[in-house]
Amino acid sequence: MDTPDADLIRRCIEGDNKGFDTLVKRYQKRVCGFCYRILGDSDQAADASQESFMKAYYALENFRADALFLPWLMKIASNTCIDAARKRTRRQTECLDERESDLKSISCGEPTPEEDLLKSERAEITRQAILELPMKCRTALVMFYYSGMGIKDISKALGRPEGTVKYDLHTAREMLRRKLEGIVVEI
Amino acid sequence: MNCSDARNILNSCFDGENHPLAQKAEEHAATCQDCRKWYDSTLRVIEVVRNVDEMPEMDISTLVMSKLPERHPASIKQDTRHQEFAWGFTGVLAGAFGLSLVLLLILFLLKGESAGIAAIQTYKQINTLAMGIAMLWNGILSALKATIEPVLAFATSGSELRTRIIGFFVVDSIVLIAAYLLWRRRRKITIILPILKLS
Repeated sequence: MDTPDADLIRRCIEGDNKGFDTLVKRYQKRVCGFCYRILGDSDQAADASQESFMKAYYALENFRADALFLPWLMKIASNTCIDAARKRTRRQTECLDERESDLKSISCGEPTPEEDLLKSERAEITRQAILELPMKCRTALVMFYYSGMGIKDISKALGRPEGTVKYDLHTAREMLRRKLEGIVVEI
Repeated sequence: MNCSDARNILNSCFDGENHPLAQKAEEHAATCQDCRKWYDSTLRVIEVVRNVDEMPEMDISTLVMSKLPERHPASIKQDTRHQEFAWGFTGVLAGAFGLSLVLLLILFLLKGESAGIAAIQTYKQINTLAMGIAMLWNGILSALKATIEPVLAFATSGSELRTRIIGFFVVDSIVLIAAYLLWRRRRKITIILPILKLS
């Protein structure tokens, strides 16, 4: 049975860093996945993930033993990603419209592409559409579908009421539905 | 059920909730063309979002751990606080103990054996006072005072002055060591205190 997070944190605060190593290995996939979906770039995601874990390490003293570790960690990751997104000087995401016309030209007049190429294009368009969502909606969507968190945990992580989180999630789905209709999502 | 209510309920279901009217909302979607289209396209979006692409594998644990200090700063701070207090506490008691010993020896040398008995009384008072100040400082005054009184009575009950002095210092040293160890485990004192208190 896995050692509870609270025990690992206590061991770390008492001077045993192996406890934190276990925590990193346990949650790095979720944190890295979250940062990657939010920032859209694997290098930036790796940097943001490392920074999130470092911040969490130095803030362990302030972590309440009766709270859940994952929402607390995701809150740090969310704030780190927001800061990273603001610092970006170069526009890294292409406009969805350009990709949409690329896909239509592929499917309309050209020879039928390989199924993998079409799938790859659709995946890229979906990824871009997610990156174009407002940050609040994007964060809620990514935490829900990629970090395995429920509404309650997302609410704790983002410090927003559950109703607001649900609204952001519904808005994200609706915006994606409208953007991807006819391109990726057949009507 | 109207379209707005049905879509709100179905959205709750997409969020993973068990809504009591879910079945009725699905029945509405089955009969309403617009809601059916919305429902199917939302389900498709969710499927696409879940399966969009594989995330690149990232293992950052080695990098993160290499940037951390050997020990968490909180553990170093705690050790330093313990050490400072332990040294301070021991220093105060040792100082009080040593001072009273010097006074006792001076009185003994100046006044002879007859003053020794009176000196022991004085020693008791000074030692008790010094230990009282130190105990007050760390918050376990009453427990140790209750411990010291019978110990003092035992230490001064010998027939020879030398035996009294040696006995007194040996027992006192044991009390000091016990006090130090109790302080190192001070979090458990709330449990120990009722046991130590002597009527």
